Amino acid sequence: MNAPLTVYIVDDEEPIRHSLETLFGALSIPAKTFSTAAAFLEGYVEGCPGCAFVDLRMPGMSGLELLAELRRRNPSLPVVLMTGHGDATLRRQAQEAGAVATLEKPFSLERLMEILDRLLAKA
Amino acid sequence: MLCSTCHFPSSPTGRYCSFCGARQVAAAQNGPDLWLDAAKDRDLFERLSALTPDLMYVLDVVEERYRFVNDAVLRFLGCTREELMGPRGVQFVIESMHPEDRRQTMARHEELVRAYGERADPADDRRAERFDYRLRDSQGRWRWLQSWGAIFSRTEGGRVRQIWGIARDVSDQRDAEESVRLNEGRLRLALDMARMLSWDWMVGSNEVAFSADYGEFFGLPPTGLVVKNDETILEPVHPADREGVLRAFQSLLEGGGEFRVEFRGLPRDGEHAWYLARGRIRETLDGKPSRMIGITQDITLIKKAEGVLRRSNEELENRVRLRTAELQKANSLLQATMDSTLDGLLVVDLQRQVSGANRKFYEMWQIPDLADRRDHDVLLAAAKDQLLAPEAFVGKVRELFADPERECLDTLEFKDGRTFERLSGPHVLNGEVVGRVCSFRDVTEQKRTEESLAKQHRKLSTLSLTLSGEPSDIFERTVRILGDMFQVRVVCLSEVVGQELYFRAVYVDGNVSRDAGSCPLNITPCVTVETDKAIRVFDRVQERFPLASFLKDHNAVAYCGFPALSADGRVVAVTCLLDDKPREFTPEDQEILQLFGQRIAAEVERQRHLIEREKAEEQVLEFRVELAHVARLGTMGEMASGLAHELNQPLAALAMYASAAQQLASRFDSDELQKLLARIGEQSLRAGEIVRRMRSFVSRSPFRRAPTDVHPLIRDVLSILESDLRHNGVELRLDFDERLPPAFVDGIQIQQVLVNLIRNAIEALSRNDSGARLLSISTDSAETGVRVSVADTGCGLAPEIAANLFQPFQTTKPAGLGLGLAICRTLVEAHEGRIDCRPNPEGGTVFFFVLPIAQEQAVE
Repeated sequence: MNAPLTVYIVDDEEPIRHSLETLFGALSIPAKTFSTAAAFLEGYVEGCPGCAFVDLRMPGMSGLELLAELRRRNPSLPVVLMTGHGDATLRRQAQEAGAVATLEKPFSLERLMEILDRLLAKA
Repeated sequence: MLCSTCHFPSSPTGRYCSFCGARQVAAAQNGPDLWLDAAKDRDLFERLSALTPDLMYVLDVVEERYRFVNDAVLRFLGCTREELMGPRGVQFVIESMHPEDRRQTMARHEELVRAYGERADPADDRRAERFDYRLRDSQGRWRWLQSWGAIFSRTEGGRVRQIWGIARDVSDQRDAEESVRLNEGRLRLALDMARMLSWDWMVGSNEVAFSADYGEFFGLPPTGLVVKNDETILEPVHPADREGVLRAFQSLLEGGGEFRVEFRGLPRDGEHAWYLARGRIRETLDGKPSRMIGITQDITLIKKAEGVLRRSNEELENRVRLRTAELQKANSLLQATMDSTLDGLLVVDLQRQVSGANRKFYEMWQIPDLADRRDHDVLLAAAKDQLLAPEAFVGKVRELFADPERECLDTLEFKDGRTFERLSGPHVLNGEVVGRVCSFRDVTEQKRTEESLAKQHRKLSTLSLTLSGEPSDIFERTVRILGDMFQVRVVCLSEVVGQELYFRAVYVDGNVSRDAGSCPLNITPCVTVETDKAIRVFDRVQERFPLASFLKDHNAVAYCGFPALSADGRVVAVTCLLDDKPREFTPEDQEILQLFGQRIAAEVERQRHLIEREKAEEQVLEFRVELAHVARLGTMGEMASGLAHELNQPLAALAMYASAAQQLASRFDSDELQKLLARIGEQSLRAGEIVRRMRSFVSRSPFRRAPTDVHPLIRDVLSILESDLRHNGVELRLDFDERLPPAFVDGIQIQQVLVNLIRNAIEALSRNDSGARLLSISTDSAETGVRVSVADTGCGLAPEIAANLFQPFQTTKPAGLGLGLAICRTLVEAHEGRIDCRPNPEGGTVFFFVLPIAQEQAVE
């Protein structure tokens, strides 16, 4: 938790963005939120360390499309896809697209910490 | 030489006198010619010569004149003594001689005169010469004369002076001889022609003389005309017939009479000739057989002809017999035809004699047996008095006979109520009227039927009028009409409802009541006896149907009822008439009742259909509501994934807020707050989990089978239905076989089956107010796969319901659509599994299904 790491949260739903931001804040992890994929692509400075928590279903560019775009621009940024209704197909698609993990909403703190630990270990 | 009896000159060699026929006893004495000298002798001679029929004369050859002729000569020649003894007498005789005999006779005469003239032996003068010649008699006929002539006197010089002669007319004798000769020839010819042999058996000499050669006649070597009667005489006879021939002879000799025997000859060319021998015995004066004369005839041809004749006779007889049989047959057929027709037939000829009539005619007209059935007038007399109008009838008959060609059809009415139709027409044979044919038909019944039809028609008009009113009171109106129409005491009109006869309307003594109770169907006379046919009991109906209480109630004695059937053969309604006294119901009554009964049945069915339609409409409405509900559920299923997403977002936010709050609370070292926040997080997650499961359950997903452990499936379903179980106070008992192999199924579909079964069980238990509400779910290995059982301790299933339980739209639930178990079965069977139920030993029902075990090769 000492690494200069920022969590980018991309979700069209404000309660999700705010609750995640609050949670990361409580965990002392800096987080930045974006309401659309386009906004994230615009505000994100390439090369900055961190990881992205991206909602799968969003108006405009979807989570998978954003993932593909990021892979094109900056392959090093780990992306976690969040979904409100996970099934095997989506999970497989996410993995194929290069997501490090998928999170099914609602998820527990333990599940979140487990994923963060994995990301840190990688980094 | 002179005859020793008559002293006439006679033949010198003859043993009999040629003049008087007397036998010559001694040689005549040469003596003086005494009698010529005696006057009395001369007188005797003259008297004798005048009497004899023979012609006598003395001719003087010198003077060529007759010196003496007797009266016979004159009679023969038809001339007088003077003419004949005159100078032209001799010439007359010569001219009267037949030209063929004249010269010869003259020549012999001259020869005789010369010859005798030259001889001087006086004995010669006594020798008479015979001449046979023809002489014309007084009637111009040629007569044969046999004439004897001799020297009568000589001259001094010894020359012949006179000759005398005596001649006899032998024409008749010669004719007879000729005739005999002719007859003999003819006989011989006839015998030859007839292949006959005449024979003459001299019994004494035992010789048989035959008319032709004996041997030749029998086709054997010649034997001769006279044959010794010994064994050889039988040679031509067939050995087998010899004894018969001998026996015939023997019996003839002993018994006399006529001899007749047929026998065969010896076989020639493989055939026998047939002979017939006939003969008669000739007896001596003392009655001993002297000769047997007879003929033997070749009857081979006759026999053959007889055979042919016999055969042709037999054939003829046969034909006659056949023809007779044919005629008899035709005749009997005609008679049978005439007898079998329902019409009385009468054929009368122009002489008013009955030439034919069938039995029916006599029956119909009741003609007594004793009457002369051949005489039309007798028949007419016997018949006319039976009629209502005898005089008119007789008049008409007379009219008809007066006009043979006339045809007519008329009606005859009888005093006894019968009615005949008479069809009368000419009897025509080969284009000629030979009589009259009448056929009589008894149309009494037909007339009555017509009348009764008319009556019935009137009744039916009433029926159509009365049944055309308002249907609401049709039953009451009908019983009233029937009661009035039949004049019976009771009319019952009943509808069949299940196994009951329900009295819709009853008429008793003019009063009509509605809905008058019921009685069991199977004791009704109509239904007990026969269906769809009116039955009639004229008397003592209660004795025959002691169980039918309504008969007793109405004190019924007579019954007429009709059970009407529906199109599918069920008894729909029974209409019956009852009376408390014996009475007859006619077939027409029966028909009318039947018509009413059918109309009533139609009305009953109509009302029944109305009610059923209302019911069906209600049910359709219910179904529609439920279908709408199902449709909403379906829509919800489709919405479920979206819904799950929408719910998961706030739940996720909630959970994260809770986690964040928990982190923050840890800074204030508030354990209690942390715990609460942790609970919030947990519950949020739990809600998310429920949503997830629900979504996966309701979402429509393709049939995808995989090796699946059934226990998590059961647990998932139970978690969904947890609140239901709790709400209904159901105690849950799980009995899982932990070594159960995975089943090869689509988990979601199996969960659907489980939800249905468990929800049914919960419902069954919820209706069980007493006793334990226990739901047991167990798994075990069955022979064919993995078995899952869901047992409740509810009220159980009735057998008739259990039978159709898995059919669509079978339900025991008031609001059920009856699709649940049908869907379950469809799903289980799609897995090659099976589903069934059985009673639970602890009460209630056990539903169970068996799923196939996942095999290595079956894994996708």
